[in-house]
Amino acid sequence: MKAPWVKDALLGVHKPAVVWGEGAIGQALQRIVAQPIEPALAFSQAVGAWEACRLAAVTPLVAVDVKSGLAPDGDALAQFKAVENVVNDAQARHVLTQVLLRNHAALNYEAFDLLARNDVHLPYDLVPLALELGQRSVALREPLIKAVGLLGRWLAGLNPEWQYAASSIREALDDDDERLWNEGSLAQREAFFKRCRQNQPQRAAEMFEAEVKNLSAKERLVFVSLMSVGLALEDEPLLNTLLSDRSKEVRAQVCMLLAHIPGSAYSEQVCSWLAPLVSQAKGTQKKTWECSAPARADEAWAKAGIEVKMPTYTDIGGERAWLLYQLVRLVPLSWWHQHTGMSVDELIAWAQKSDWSKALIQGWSESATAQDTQWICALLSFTGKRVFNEYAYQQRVLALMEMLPVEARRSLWAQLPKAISADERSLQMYIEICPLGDYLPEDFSRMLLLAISHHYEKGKFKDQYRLRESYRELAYLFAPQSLQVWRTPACSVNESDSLREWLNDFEQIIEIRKQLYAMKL
Amino acid sequence: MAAMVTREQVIALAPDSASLKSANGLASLGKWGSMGADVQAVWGECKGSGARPYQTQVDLSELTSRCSCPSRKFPCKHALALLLLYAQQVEPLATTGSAPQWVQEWLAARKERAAKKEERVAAKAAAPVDPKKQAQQLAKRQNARWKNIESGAQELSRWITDHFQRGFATFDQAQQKEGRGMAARMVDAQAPGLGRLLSDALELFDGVSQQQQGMEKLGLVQLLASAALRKDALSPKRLADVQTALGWNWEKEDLLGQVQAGQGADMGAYSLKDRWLVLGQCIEVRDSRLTERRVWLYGLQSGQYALLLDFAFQGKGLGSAWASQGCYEGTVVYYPGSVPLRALSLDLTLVEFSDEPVKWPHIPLPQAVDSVAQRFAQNPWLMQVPLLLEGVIIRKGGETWLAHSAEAVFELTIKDLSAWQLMAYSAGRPLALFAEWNGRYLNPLAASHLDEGFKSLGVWSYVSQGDKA
Repeated sequence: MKAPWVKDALLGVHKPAVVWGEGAIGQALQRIVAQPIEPALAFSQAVGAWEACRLAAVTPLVAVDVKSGLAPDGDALAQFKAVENVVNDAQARHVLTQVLLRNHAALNYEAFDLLARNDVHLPYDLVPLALELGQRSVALREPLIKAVGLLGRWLAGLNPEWQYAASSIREALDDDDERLWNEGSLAQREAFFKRCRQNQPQRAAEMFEAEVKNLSAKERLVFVSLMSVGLALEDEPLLNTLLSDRSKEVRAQVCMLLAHIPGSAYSEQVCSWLAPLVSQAKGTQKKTWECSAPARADEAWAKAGIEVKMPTYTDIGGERAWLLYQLVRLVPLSWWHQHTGMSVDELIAWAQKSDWSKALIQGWSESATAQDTQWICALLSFTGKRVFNEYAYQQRVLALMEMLPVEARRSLWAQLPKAISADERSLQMYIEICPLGDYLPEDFSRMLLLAISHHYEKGKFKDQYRLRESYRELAYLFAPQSLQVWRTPACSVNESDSLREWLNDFEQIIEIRKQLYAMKL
Repeated sequence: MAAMVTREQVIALAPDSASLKSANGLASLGKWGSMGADVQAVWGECKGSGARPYQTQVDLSELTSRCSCPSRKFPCKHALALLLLYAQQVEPLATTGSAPQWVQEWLAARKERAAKKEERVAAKAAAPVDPKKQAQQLAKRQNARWKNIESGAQELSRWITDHFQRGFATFDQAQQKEGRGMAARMVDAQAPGLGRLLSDALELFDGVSQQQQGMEKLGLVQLLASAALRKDALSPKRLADVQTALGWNWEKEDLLGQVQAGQGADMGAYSLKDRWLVLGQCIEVRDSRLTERRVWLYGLQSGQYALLLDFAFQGKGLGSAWASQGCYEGTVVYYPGSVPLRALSLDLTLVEFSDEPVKWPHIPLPQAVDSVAQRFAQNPWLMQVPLLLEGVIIRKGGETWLAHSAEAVFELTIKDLSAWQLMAYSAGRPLALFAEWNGRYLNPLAASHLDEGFKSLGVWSYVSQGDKA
């Protein structure tokens, strides 16, 4: 609110002011402005006196809307008092503070997961920081929501940016409550839909069909992708209607799903288009197969979601290779055995000799599903360095590895020791595919920790900046049980400041992780 | 061994937040080679980027440190990290060991220097002095300073008068720049307090929304300049208020001497013995060079507040750390002035500190607000006054943080993360909140739950480092 003297002060004071204020204050101000001095000087002194009076009056804000939001969530807090087991040990609090300040996704996940598994919650002063981390990383949220406890979920309800952890719907409903589908956030609907596809796929399909008109393209893509869970012939009619979806991404995803429904009309049609292109060589006694690419696109292909016009950014090859690649990616891998009678390894070897190897390998890589473990391992063994550029190679390998079950993935880690001093690219890829909360196998971790120490002493990390960076990341992934074997290496030959700095940081990560598991919870 | 150093004390020692962050990174055993502690000191060898580890040592009696690292900050990140580890009572710092030679040598050298200093002080005290001559010298120095101040105050008063005459509608960046020059001129005129008040007022002219507040602050500066020009008409207490506001520092020895000789009463200076609870503390960095630490004590028997104010230049040496919620026993000496707040510690020693908070004083809100009003009524140039509010609920109102009590709502000046921590601590329930009130905003420093149920959460407190929202 503007004071009565502000207008004069803004415009300038040239004559004695008319006194503002009543009673004792008014009289005091009157005495000041009545002094036989310059009007502006008296005015400025009176403003000072006005401010002194305001300070002495202690004027807080007007109490507005005091009641709303004041009442705490009584039940939740009563429960909080009764059941919450909060980390209280000073050392444990210090370790957790260090973890959150370091702010590395894998380390944060490890700490939250450890607390969640022990049903212990973060101390109150770390709860806001944790909720901020969850705001930026969806992958952290599951253990984080448990680690912040009821207090954190209550706090999250007060901050629109932390709604993901708010307790309102999450705790009011059980996992199967359909209100999650009708009222929940996208993440909650996604989780509900996935569970529903696992248990009652047709019910989920019906719910999606009823809702599809109300969904944005991004949401449609999310739920269409989840139709891959429990995919069956019964889903074909719904997916057929989605072949004309407005979104190109949705249509592409629908094509992939239809292609992978055994016995679907779509799948049979695409197989029939590919079959003439994979034929036995004529005139040879030995039964050999050859592959050719389509000379031009069939008119019906566009309706089946095959893009006739080649995009500018692909490195599959020319237009014919582009068409072949699209047909290959839409044909189930089992078709190739049935059609040619060749095993997976024979097919890979055959493809490498083909003129269309890039289209075949890339098509197969994209056609593979999580069930095609044998194919994935075979495709991974095909390094493709001669065929693909580095980026495409990495992307293809990453996509394939992500499809493998965790156990199968772990066995691939065994390839790493060979890469310890040479191939940081492979190392980085393995780090990228390691899901949060997963670690390297224990024996393998021990071996690597010893190897790193040995390599350091021999000076093999000198000038290997990218490799060092990869190993720094790896420090977060060693199996917790293996950390005790780490021994600080002796001074390296060629030891530089940056090398020493890297070692310090590497050791610090190991140390924090060791302390995490030594916490008194 | 009892944990006599707390994490908060260590945080309070940090010269800046970057040092604290680095220290946190170093506060793990893996970073340290040999380390140990005894009743006098804590020491360790920290691996750095050099070939030889840095030798870090802290004298626990005064929390003074020395490190062989090249850092110019004091204390350095290594000393802070060592203290953080000590505060956690990690092995091997939890048990008493025997100090290596390099630590023993340093402690011995410190002892020797302290003894020599005492000798010099004693020799000075024993030397014959001519009180008349001393008083003449002091009066001469003071007269010279007053002359300087009067000249500066006249110039500033003219400048403010001119702007009130011209009107503030056209007060823009050029005038602000001119004002900053005037503030610097006040430092030359030996009235840095005037310069600081003027700078604070000028900042309020950055946007239109706070223009009125800016003019009000300029009015207060004008009052101070006018008071300086008529100093002979002021009472001793009022004169002391004006001197303090002008930035006139009192020599500790002079103050102690006057109070002990029973001569400070007319100026409002006196000593008070009590059991003092550290209710809260904060560190503010000004101009990125000057660090100001405010430690608020509450006398459990007298019900009086005392403010221990320390300054450090370029992060060097804030002196002893104070444990938030720690209880100290001894005497403080209040500086002259109408409102006894700023004080110096004569012989305060920590007598009690535990994780369980000491019971906070019970001050009903009307009484607390009334005492704030009284303080500002007596001295409008106080920068901030302590305020203990009961039954306060923290909540966010739009973009601002608010402390709601049954009778009033106060706006907080606090960073978002600290505010959410305070909110988490409150768990939605009413709190007792200790804060500094600057006439418009509350700067919360500590909070406590009054009911027993939440005691396990301890007391929310933090050392804000220039923690303005």
